[in-house]
Amino acid sequence: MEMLATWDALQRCVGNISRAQPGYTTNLYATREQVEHWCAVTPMPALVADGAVIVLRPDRDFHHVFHIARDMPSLTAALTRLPHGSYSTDLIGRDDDLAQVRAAYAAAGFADHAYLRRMNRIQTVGGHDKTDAMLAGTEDAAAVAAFLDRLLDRFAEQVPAEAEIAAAAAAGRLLVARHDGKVAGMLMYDLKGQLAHLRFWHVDTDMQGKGIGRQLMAGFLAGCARARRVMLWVMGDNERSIAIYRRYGFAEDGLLDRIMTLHKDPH
Amino acid sequence: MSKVIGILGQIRPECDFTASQDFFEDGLLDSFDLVTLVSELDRAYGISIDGLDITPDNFGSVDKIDALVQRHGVTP
Repeated sequence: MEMLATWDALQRCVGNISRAQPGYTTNLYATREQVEHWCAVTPMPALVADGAVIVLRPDRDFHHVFHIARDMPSLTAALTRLPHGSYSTDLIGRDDDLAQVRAAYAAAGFADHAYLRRMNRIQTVGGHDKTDAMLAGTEDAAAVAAFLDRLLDRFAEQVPAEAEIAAAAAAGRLLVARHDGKVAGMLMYDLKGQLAHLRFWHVDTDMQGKGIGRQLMAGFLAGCARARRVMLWVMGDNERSIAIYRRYGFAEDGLLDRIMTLHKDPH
Repeated sequence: MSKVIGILGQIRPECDFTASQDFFEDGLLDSFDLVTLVSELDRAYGISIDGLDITPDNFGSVDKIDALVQRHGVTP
């Protein structure tokens, strides 16, 4: 394995895999900024094989898998060389377009784990006044991290580290509802120009039905009133959440994130 | 005017690309829109944009996209 510490190192690794090849496939859509951030946290191992590069991003007790390959057979051959451990990959696109790459991962032992649907809300810019209600402070980050760790599927949902949650709080992008001193609900988002990304919106199971989710969403929409588009990913089989988002004006755009996982034992 | 504005309008009809100097910084396009944009440009111009060139830096404005297309020997 090579260790990638910079964006340039990644480009050198994948430089000779031409996109012009008819079977070219990749699921690495990260920007230079994102890759540099990941490498700053920890260098990323890269498995360099004939016609394929597999980049592994460490996360807790598993790795996220990214591939760049000249064709599907090269991809499968490289994936079969992964050492023992746990792996998760995100394959994003329209469902028909994902069949071949899903088959390539399946041939290497990966199995379907979950899938996400993307939804968008196009909104008229302006309208709401920003409210500071429910804004979290950086001191809330640890409690929110523990809350998300308890609720989320870490393979499917890219659970943020406490530092990332603290950064969101510092930027005014984290809303928290408390009950009896504990986190009852939270909402965390990104905002870049005209695009808001609703990343996490969760109310604890025994606190649902009390209007907490509604308050959090109202705070969020007020905070991103200048965004033209609000985007989110929702678990694909969570019809209840999808219905709630539809009531807020979100609509699916056909993009799916098919998550596949591999747990490879040493024996 | 190049075909680029028309392609961008098909991907994100709600956005005004003429008012932006950086489509990614301004949030008009996200990383998956970039994938769609590259595919549409390949198809519209009969080219194959190299993977190393697929970064927001090369697609942040109509001028940058036109310049990339021109590097493939095609008039945008």
